[in-house]
Formats: sequence, C-alpha cells, structure tokens
Amino acid sequence: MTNHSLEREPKFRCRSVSVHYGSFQALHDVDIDIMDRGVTALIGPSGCGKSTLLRVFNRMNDTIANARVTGSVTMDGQDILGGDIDPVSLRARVGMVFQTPVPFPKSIYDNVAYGPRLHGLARTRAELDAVVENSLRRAGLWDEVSDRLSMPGTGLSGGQQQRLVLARAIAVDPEVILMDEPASSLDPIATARLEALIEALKARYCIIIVTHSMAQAARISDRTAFLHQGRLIEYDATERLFTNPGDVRTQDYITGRFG
Amino acid sequence: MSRALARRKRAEARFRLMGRAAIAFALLALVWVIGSVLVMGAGALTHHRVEVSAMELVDPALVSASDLGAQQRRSDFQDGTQSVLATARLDQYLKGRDVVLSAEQVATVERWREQGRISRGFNTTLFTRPDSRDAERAGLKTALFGSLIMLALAAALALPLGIATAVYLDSFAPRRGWGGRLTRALEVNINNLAAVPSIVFGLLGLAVFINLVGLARSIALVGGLVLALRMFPTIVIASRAALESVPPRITDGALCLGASPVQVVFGTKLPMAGPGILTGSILGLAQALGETAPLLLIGMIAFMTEAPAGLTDPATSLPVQVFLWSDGAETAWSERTAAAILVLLGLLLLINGAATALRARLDHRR
Amino acid sequence: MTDPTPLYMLVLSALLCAAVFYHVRDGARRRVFLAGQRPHSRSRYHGALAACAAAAACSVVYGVGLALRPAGDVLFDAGWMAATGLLGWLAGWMVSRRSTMAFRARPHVERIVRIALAALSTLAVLVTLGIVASLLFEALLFFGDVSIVEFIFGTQWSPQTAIREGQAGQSGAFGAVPVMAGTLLITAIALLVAVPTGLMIAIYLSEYASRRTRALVKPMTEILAGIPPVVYGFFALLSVGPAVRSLAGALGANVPTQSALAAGLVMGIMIIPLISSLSDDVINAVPQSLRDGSYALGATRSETVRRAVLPSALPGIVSAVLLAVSRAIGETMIVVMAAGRGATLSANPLDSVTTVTVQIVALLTGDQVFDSSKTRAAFALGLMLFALTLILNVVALIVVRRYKERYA
Repeated sequence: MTNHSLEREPKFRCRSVSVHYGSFQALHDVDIDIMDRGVTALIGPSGCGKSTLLRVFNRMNDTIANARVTGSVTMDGQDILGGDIDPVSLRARVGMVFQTPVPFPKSIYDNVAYGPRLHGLARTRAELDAVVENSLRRAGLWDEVSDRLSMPGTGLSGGQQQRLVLARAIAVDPEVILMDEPASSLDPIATARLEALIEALKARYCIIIVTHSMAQAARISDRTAFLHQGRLIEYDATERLFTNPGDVRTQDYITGRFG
Repeated sequence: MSRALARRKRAEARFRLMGRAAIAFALLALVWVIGSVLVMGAGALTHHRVEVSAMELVDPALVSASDLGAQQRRSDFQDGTQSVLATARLDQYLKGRDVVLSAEQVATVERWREQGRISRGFNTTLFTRPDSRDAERAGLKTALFGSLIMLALAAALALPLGIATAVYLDSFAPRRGWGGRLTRALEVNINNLAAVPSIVFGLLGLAVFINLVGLARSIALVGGLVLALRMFPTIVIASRAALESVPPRITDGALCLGASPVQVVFGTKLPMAGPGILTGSILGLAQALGETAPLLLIGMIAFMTEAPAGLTDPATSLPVQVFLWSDGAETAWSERTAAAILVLLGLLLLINGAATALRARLDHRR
Repeated sequence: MTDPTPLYMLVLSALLCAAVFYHVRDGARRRVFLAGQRPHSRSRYHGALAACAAAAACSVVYGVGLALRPAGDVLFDAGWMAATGLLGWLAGWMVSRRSTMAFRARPHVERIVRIALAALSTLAVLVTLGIVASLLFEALLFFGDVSIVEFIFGTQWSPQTAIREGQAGQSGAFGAVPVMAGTLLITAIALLVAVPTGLMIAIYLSEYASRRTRALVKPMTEILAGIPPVVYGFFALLSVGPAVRSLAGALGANVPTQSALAAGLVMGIMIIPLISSLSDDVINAVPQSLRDGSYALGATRSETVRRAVLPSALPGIVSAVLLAVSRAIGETMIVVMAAGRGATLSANPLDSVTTVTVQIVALLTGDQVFDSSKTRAAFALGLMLFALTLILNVVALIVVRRYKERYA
C-alpha cells in the first residue's frame, strides 16, 4: 500500500493529481508528499509518468499546449495549481535542471545572471557579481571557470554545462530544485561530481530527482517513489524500498525483470 | 517583488499586443491592396453600349467612332439598328464618375436613356480585343497571348535544364577534392543567381541576346529566354529540395537490389521527388508570369495592337500591359489597369491552386 | 530567324533518333528472345546508346550545316536533310552491329547521361559569366567616357542632357550619389516597416499563436509575397501615394504623389513575408529545451523570447534582414511607378527621389540610340546593383551557414 505520510510537515502535498496530454492520461490520481531539505527520487520504467510528475511541481506542463493537470498540489500549504498562483513566480521558487544541459547562447556570466536579472535580485553590478560567484561556487564550477566568465557557455564540456545550468537555477535562490535525469548525458566521473554536489545541496534545498538509474537513486536519495504506467506504486524511505519492497511490481523493477 | 512582477506582466501583455498589431497590419495591408484593386477593377468589368440606327449621326465623343465605322462596313444593319460601344467618357458618365459633358450631350444621353437604347453588359472587349489608344476599345488579347507564348518558351527551356542541374548536383556531382570545390562553387552560384534582382536579367538579355546575338528588340523569343534564365535558379533550388527530401533508406534499398546509380536516380528518386519538383516549378512559373522589369529593358514597352503569332513577333505581357496602362490619366484607364491586375491575380491564383491540387493528388496516390 | 528550316531540321533529327532507338531495341530484344539467355544490358540500353550516337552525328551535321548554309538555297537544304538522315542512321547502325549478349551498353549510356547532366548544369555558370561580362564590358566603356571617381562621388545626376553631336566634351552629369541616396532612403523606409512587422509576426506565430491562428495567418502573409511587384507599384501610385499626399496636406505639408514615403511603405509591405517566413524558420529551429530552461528560471514568455530565443536566432534574423535589403535595393517596379525620376539629393522621405533601378529603366526605355554614354550608364548602375546584392547575399549565406553549424 502506498505510504505517503511523513513525520515532518511536507514541502509539497499532492492529492489525486492526474495529467492528461490531449486524450492520453499520463498520470492517474497520484497522492504524494515531498519532504523539505532532502532528496526525493522518482524512479520507474520509461513513460511511467515520472517526468510528468516532476513538471507538475513548477507547472512546466503549462508550456505544453494540450496538457491538463487536475487534482490538488500544495507547496507549504499553498495551492499551486490554482489560477491565482502565477507560474512565473512559482518557477522562481522552484528551479529545474533538465536531462541535456542547454546553456543560453551567451557568456557563462550572463547564463548565471539570467534569472537574477529577470527577477531583479541584484540592484548593483557588485551584487550581481556576488550572486554569480556564489551560485557558481555552490554548483562547484567556480574554480574551473572563474578566469573565463565572458566565454560562451556553450563552449564548456557536458559535465561543466550541467553544473552551469545548475548554477543558473541556484542563482534565482529557489527553495526547490527539480532534476530531470540530470546525469543521463554525463560520463561516470562527471556523474560522481554531480552526485556529490546533490549531497551537499540537500542541506539547503528540497531536491526532487527523476532518474533512470536505480543505483543512483539508492546512492543519493532519502526517499524514493516508484511509478508505473502513470500510477504511484510505492513510496517509502529509499533503504526500505530497495531492501524490502511492498509491491511485487516494485520488486520486479528493482530486480531488473522489466524496465 | 509583486510590483516588479506586475511590471513584467504588463511588459508581457504589451509584447503580445505588438505581435497582434503586426499581424493586423499585414492583414490590413493585404486587404487594402486586394480591396483597392477589386473596387477599382470591378468598374471595368462592365461597359455600356448604345443602340444606334444606321442613318443616325452621332457625337464621336459619346459613341466609339471606330467601332461604329467597323460595324457599318460589316453591314450588320438588318433591323436598322446596331449596338455600339460607348466611349470611355460616356461610360464613365453613366457609371456616375466625375465627368463633365456639355448640355447638348447630356440631353442626347437622357433621350437615349428614355428610349431604352443604353444597355450595360459584361465588358467582353477587355478580353477579346488587342490594346488600343481608346480606353473603351483597349483589351488584353495581345498581352494574354504574349504572356502565354513567353511562359511556354521559358518553361520549355528552364524546366528540363533546371531539373537536370538539380539531379546532377544532388546525385552525381563530385563531393570531394577539386571537383567538390567546383560543385560547392556551383551551388553558391545558383543560390546567388536566385537572389540577383530581376532587372539585372533584363540587362543581360539586352547585352547578350539583342546587342551581341542581334535578335530584334521586344520579340517574344528574347522575352521567353530572359524569363527562362530568371526561372532557372528557382527551379533548381526547388527541385534540389524535393530530391533531398527523398529518404536515403529508399535509395539504399534500390541500390541493394543491384540498381545502378543512374537507375536509382531516374527510376526511384526522381519519381518520388516529382510532386515537390512540380510544385516548385509551377511557383517559378508564377513568378515569371508576374515579372515586369526585365521585359521593359528588352524593349517590351511599345504600343502593340497585334497578338504575336510566333516567337519572332513583337510581344507584350500582362504585367507590362498593366504598367503601360497605369500611365493613363483618366479614371477609365486606371479602372482597366485594375481589371488587368485582377486578370493577372486570377491567373496566379489559378496556377497556385493547380499546384496545390496536383501536389495533394500526387501525394495522396503515393 | 523567320526561316523555319533549322527548326524542321531539329524535329527531323529527333524523329530519326527515336526511330533508331526503337529499331535497335527491338533488334536486341529479338536476339535475346531467340537465345533465351540473360544479356549484360537490357535491350532498351542498346537502343538508347544507338540513339545517342545518332543524336551526336545529327548535331554535328546540324552545326556544320548551320554554319555553311547560304540563305534560301533549296538544294543545300535538301542535301543537309539527306546528310543528317544518312549519317544519323549510320551512327546508329554502327552501334547496333555491336549489339550482342555481352555488349555492355548500360555503363556507356550512363556515362553519357552523367556527362550530359554535368554539361547542362554549367548553364548556371554561363549565365553568371554572361551577366558579369556584359555588365563589365558596357560599364568599362562607360568609364572610358566618364571617370569612375565622378561616377561614385559626383552629386549631380542629369543624364537627360545627353551628348549632342558636334559638341565635344559636353555631356550629361553622371554622379551617382543622389541615385544611391534615393535608393538607400527608400530601402531604409521599407526596412523600418518590414523588419519590426515581419519579426513580430514570426515571433507571434511561433511562440504565441494557436495552431489554428497559425494555419490561418501564415498563408495570408504568403499571399502578400505572391503578388507581383507591378501590382504593388499600381497600389502605391493610386492608393498609397494619394493617401500620403492628402494626409500630409491635412497636416499642412505639400507632398507630391510620388514620394519616397509612399514607395518605401509599399515596398516594406511587400518585404514583410520575406522577413517573417525566414525568421519563422530560424525561430522554430531554436531547440525547445532552450525555452524550457528559460521558463524553468521563472521567465515570462516575452522575456524568454527576448533574452533566450532571439539571441540564439539572431544570425538567422540578420541574414533575413540582409536578404531583405538586397531585395529592396533591387526592386524595380514599385519605385519606377511610385518614386519619381528627378534625382534630388534629399533625406526627406516626403520628397520625390529616384533610385538605381528607376534610372536603369529610364535610361534604357527611351527611343535613344544604343552605345551612348546614357545607355552605358545604365550598365554601370547595373554593375553597382549586381555587386551590392551579390555581397549582401554572400554575407547572408555565410551567416546562415555559421548558424546551421551551431545547431547541427
């Protein structure tokens, strides 16, 4: 049975969330609570709806023409699906990192400064410099790029680009960071660095990560949700879910019978 | 924070409004262009005729004298009266335009009107007669024939040449080494040729076909050649795009069955690219039909009252006729110019419609 | 050229080649049928090769005959026809003699096809060479009469006072500056209209519009592109010109019907679809992930467009604008009909100005004799126009290629 209750007050509380793309239903009545200051992993086979669920948290599904989200999602007790909440200001609080890093065709500095400039987070150039440096440091990229901030962001390596995109998200000073398979285009070394970074960031942020790799989920997450065919099958502390799954489908998936 | 957000929201709304305004402007311009031509040209689609009896002496300012003369020579006066074209002046007066007639003329017209001798009908003259100095007798026959003959010649030359060039560049041209460099130069050359202003093709025609080869000015042959050169790069580019869109797995399949490269191209690739090539070529044809400037330079600006019978006869074309008529000061001429434009636009619509329909049919059959 | 015999000769040659093709093909087919084996090449290639040989022979005879032919000699024409028939048939027959099971006809035919295609595709080069040569030749003659310095820097353009016989050294003034200035003025007005409008249309259609709006509006703008320039010229002359005139009159200014503003405005309308469709292409080529990245940072739609999409699409948009400039300076009919002919040096858009293309048309459509400075001046202007548009197109192509490499 689905276990969605948490000890602490959750960051997000989802109740019977369904997502339709046109006539196709990608997510069926998902109930899930996401804890603050920790890593929650969403796993499941391709097309199970884990990315769709992730995009519910910052309303990125709004950018898809025929997507429709129903149910209720609250963030710190506040409804975020309602018409009165503005997706633009929501996304300033909920950052996101995508599968393939796509830096803007601008300099490294301008990439990181993109969000702060939009939201007016820095009043002076010195403040902006500080925000950029701080974000790059937290993303573990500062030492590598501090001497070439005016170079185009597209010139960095794949792993560096992914951390640049992370720094870009951090610069807006979000409360939540969503990650959609952030390591899938990285080599093992870059992946290890990214995982170490996530470990360090979880003290400050609520992190939700979609991943294909069960090993990765087991390594970095505190809680794991298993989705299958648009339904939340099981949600538990990571250790328990991987050692003692409550559902036969979870068992089959983590032992590699399908997926 | 929320005030900043409100400001950003306003900027967003402004931006969206600008987009809508741009579209509105373009659509308004379209409606204005087409609408003004329609409103002006509609008047010229009808014309007044007057029933004149055989022995009657009529004012040549009211009834086309040359038309009257022609009718009388034909001795068509069986029942004693004959329907004769009203002059542009009278026609404009009857259509309520701003034309001043003398009191005597007004009286005559009123009398005719009471006697029911004035009738308004479809302006067949516009389509069946050649050009004339008198607006009421001016027609598009010369121009239509000229356009037809020149387009036929241009298509006959440019289509095979253009398609052959596209096939060569797509399938047989060398890609590596010096040959590859030549191929790329040729491609760049064709792209540039497509963007060269059409008036330059007129200069080329004047310098080469008329001054160098010694062909006569303003003949259909030179016009057709110039239009063919103009169409050629368009056809090459369209055909190449169509050939490139044939998926390689299909040609690979044919090669695996032991077909030679030439057989693959002519047996598989070209038929599959057919609809695309056809559409592109027809659009090139439409472009050539509207072309004016190069034809002016090779001397197609003369007043022409005879439709060309062959390639070596002087000719004019529909857009050139539009240009020539647009010079006329009276409203009767601007009406006819607009009507000629309507005919031109109608033909273009027909051509484009045919291209779309053909394409849909050929695509469907595959 | 009114003499139809050369044309008949072509028809005769074509018929002969067709006859050779069918004859040799059927011959080969019969032998294969009798032998009951599989030949190297199918019989149609035997026929095609024979027809190629016949065509080659015919064209040699045709060319030689055309060169030697005295006018109106019936006997010569009869001999010419006979020679064509005989030699053509002979060539076909020589090929057909080799037509056996093992005869490798197909590779030969295919080589001929390849060579013929290559030869035909050189037409593009010939046309370009023809343009360059004819423009250069006449322009150089012109620069023999008028110094190139005067042409480029002179501020007086009045070619209508042409050279009078016996009045040595007295010629019209050929300073191209006013002509260039007029061209640039009208181009600038056209771009001021077309670039913002076209760009905003492209942005709205690709970022905001529903699929239905897009399907409705895009063909409409394409209609605007399909209207011939002469129609726009008429529109400028009879609708926009008078409208501008009466509007300015209401504001207390006296404006001629033929003004730079009217011509530029209409030219701008004509160029809108060029800008909008090219920009639409490059904006659509910007990957969706870039937009998602911007949205995820809390950017609004317009912020995403202005700060992420447009900077990525910029090279493509720049090349679209360059192509629009090239189109505007080469456009002829609108300015011929609506801009006027007086070469006044003015930056006032309400004045009547002249352009390069207008002057080319004006210089070459009168009843003047050729080979005067006047007609040659047209070619010098044409050379300038050609060079200018060529540079713009090449730069636009290079910019676009760079852009494509980035998103390959």
